[in-house]
Amino acid sequence: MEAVQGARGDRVLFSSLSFNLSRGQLLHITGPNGSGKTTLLRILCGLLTPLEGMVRWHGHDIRSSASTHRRECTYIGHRDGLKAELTALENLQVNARMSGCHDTKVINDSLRLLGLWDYQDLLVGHLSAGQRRRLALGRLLVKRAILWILDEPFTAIDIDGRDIIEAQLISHLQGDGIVVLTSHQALSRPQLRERCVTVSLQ
Amino acid sequence: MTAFTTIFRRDIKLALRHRSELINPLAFFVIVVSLFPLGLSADSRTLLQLAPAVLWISALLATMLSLESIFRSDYEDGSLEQLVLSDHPLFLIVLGKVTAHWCTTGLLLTLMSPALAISLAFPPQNLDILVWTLLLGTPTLSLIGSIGVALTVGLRRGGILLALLILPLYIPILIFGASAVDMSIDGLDVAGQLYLLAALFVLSLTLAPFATSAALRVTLE
Repeated sequence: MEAVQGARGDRVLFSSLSFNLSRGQLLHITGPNGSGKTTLLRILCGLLTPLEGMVRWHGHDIRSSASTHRRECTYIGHRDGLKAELTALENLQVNARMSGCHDTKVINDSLRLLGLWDYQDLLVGHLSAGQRRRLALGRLLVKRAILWILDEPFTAIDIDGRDIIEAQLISHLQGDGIVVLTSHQALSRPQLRERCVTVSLQ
Repeated sequence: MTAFTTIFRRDIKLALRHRSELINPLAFFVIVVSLFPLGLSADSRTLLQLAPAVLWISALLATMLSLESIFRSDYEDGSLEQLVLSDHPLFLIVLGKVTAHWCTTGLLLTLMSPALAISLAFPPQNLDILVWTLLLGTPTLSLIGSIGVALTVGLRRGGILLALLILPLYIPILIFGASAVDMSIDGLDVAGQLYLLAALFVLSLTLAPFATSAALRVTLE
């Protein structure tokens, strides 16, 4: 990522921001509310075009190699992207199929891992906010992308859930994955902290 | 193709679970068309004169009422971002969504139209032309409509803007559709109009999904 300038509306949130991430690294973006954390993440995943500069993936501008970047990147925004009228299982099945995973075992394992196995036939509209967040993060487990971009992944999630997710982050990093996340809480596991680079937005 | 079928099946399932949204445009269609014989004189000649226009305008407005549902809920719950970021071609996803929308509105309107046409003193031997025009016209309405919705879904009150954007594009379809039905009642040949409706359908089928995809990317910026 090079000299990126991001803005919402007419307001420039950050400029000349540059960093480099390599396999096995975690980037923790911090900053007060409204400092542009979500904007930065949306630029990284290609939803927003930066005002200046560019984001490179494998050395190529993500706008010119969009399909590779999209295939190797999973973005979990602050909205869960789940349909309230579908059950937990149906939601995960749709997400899995859209990311090219047709293996029911992977889907079932993900539900078990996220502690949603007993709730798989409930409509997502009837799940709690934390359970919905867990299900949204299930997208990571069925897609197995290299780059995970997570916007406040721990919102509404309990201590157990946080443990599960941090364990997944660690195994993803150990498997040469890359994680970019925003979070107001500090990361608790030392394995995460030693691989962590922090960028603070003002 | 996985993207198309996955999204198509998902949207059909969602429509079936969201009964009120499914029934609204159909109820609108039935109510508007069935009010005409009540409001006008019971003279069957006046009714018949107005029948093609009434049926077509009601079908068009019913489709417009339902257009927002193509992208509104996906936009609000964040699914749209995920669809745009998926590594499948966005136009296939859009096509899946528009096809599902047509199956739950245009197709049902078309199937209901013969029964309503009879209440407007419509001659039974001309019903096939009515069904053909709607069958060729309503998918075009959904396809063109999807471009407008993709552009306005990010706005809080996009309804009027959507109508202003879309209605001018709907007018040719309305003219050819209603006039074909009208002429068939007079016993004239309507092959020309039907071919034109088919041509408009093919044109919108090839172009609209790409325009909609581009509009969605702009909307999510």
